[in-house]
Amino acid sequence: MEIELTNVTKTIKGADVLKNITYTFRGGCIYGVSGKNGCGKTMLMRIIAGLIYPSSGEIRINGKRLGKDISFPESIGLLIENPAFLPDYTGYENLKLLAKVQGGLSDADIRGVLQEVGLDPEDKRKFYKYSLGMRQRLGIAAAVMGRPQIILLDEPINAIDADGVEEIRGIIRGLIHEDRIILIACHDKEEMDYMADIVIPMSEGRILSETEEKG
Amino acid sequence: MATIIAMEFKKMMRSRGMRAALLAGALIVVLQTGWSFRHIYLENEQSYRKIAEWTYGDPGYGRWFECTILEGWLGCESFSSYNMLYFLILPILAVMPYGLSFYNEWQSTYSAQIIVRCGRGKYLWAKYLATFISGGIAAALPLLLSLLLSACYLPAIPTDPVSLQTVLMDRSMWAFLYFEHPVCYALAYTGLDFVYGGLFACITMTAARWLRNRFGAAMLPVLLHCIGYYCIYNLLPETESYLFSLYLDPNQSWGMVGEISTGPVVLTTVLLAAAVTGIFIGSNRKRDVLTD
Amino acid sequence: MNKKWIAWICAGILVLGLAGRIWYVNQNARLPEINRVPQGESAVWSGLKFQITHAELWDYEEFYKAYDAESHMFEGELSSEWDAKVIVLEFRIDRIEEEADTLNIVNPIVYVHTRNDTDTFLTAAINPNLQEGTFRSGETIRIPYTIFEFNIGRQNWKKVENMTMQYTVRLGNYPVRNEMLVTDIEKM
Repeated sequence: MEIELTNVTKTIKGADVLKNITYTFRGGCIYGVSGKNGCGKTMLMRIIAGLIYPSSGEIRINGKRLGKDISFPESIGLLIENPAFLPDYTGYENLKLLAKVQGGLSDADIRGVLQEVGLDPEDKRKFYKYSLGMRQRLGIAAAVMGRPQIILLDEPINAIDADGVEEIRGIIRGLIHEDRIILIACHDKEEMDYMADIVIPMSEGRILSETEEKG
Repeated sequence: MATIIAMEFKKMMRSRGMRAALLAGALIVVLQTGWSFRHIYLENEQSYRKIAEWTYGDPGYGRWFECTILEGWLGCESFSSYNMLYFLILPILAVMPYGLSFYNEWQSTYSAQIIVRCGRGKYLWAKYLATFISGGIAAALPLLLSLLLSACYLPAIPTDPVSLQTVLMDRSMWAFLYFEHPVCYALAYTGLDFVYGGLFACITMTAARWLRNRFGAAMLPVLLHCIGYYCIYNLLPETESYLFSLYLDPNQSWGMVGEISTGPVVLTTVLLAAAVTGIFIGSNRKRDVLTD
Repeated sequence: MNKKWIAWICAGILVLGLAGRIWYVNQNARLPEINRVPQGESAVWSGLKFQITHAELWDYEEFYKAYDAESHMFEGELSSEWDAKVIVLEFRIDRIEEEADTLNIVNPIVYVHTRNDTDTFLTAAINPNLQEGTFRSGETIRIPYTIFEFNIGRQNWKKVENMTMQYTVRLGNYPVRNEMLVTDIEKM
């Protein structure tokens, strides 16, 4: 499993949000993207997911060009910004809808992933009644259900309590596989150092070199 | 593709907006049916009981007509205000169920969850179809309900032109159906209103992106409807066959607007549908999934 | 029996009930008995016997000139876009019953799905026996009906111009509907 970015630049309304990104992600470890707010972490994840198109450059996933050979990664789960679901549906119903679109997931799989993230599959509360922490957990569940080959998690431990953070760490570490790329963005440096095997520092849309990071 | 379409349909039918739109439409239908029953049917029944009293000198002599189904149908009953009310708010009813669903999902980035699972193209087409159908259902179902309720007390007999029960003239669109096959006329017009209900919902869905104001986008079809009816027609009366504001109502403005004919209506509908579809799909095909 | 079955049964009963009601309403519709009378034959209605003895089709302005009734022509009645014609029907009217009123002659003409009544002042103007009050049972009067293209559209108007339009004069509507057919029309 490999994601290769070559000279990827993204310009939005005249501003370069990503500048000349060249990097290769390989399966078998957790990548952490660190940097302050607005440095381009979320944009990087969006561009890998095929949600935004690069202004220049190329992204290849297992050799296939994103936007040309494939329009979106074939197996991906993501949690970007605030997790969004249908407000009038329960957590289970929301995942069930997504699972139907995704295909290959049974009811037992959905219940299992909900329990994994600490949510009750039998909970009849609609999503709009969920607390922030519950929403975050549901977002993680949606990202990891079906064990996709690419998992992008933007600030996964936001609003999660201390016990929950351990659970989430355990889930993420349990997903490491040579055929899987896990990319986490987190503003908490300590958390990043703990979770990620490789940390990629970013600033102003660029991936910093070691020298730049230390400087 | 079938899966994502089914999912969108399920969401659409379950939406609060759909329930509200159908409830509002049903309320208008029930009130209008009650009005028609009392003021049209019962009044006619009263006249019927007096037939035996007719004499040659009586102005009513030989002048009784059985009421027809279209006299009680919301689409053609023009004595009360319900017909005018319904067709004025029809664009709003059409937009209510699902017109802003795409905008809301895009803004909340829920659409990202769907796109990464099935692809952008399938999502856009499924959303377009569901939105179209939702608008059509909201527009057409009350008309069908009204037809059903009318059928429970009014027979589906041809309209007698001597009766003065008619709202159309011979030069009106589908006049033959109206006079000879009233139920077919009602169903054909319900079909036309279904299409336009769908288009209104899709216009809102398409425009929401640029307007960035949900209320404004929802009101856009109403605005177009009013501009067509009150402005364009008065300035350019020769455009009557091309203004949906005039031919959406089955009573076709009581047959008074020139000569609405099928050809221009079909052309306008096809062009409008093509434009809305093209703009929606074309503008979102390569659009970045970002919160505006 | 679970809720789903009960719901289906209730729905079925409702559908059958509605279908039955609709069938009943249509079966019991009070339709008139239709009596079609060919031109030249007579029909009795309202104590009078009507017979169409002659029919003429005129161009609009030619009619008013021919009958010297230009004062009855409304200025601007015709627009440049839409045409009009006048069909004049000559009726013989006989009183059958004593109490019948021979002046009860305002019967509409029907063509395609349009009805027209006559202009009573114009009718009086072109019938001296009406104007002078000398009209008696057994006499004939001419009743003009103006036909407007605007009412029936361009397609149907072609039938008027090539003399293939079907006209009927309606005498009464319920319980008997007399339709006097106008089939032999002279183009003037």
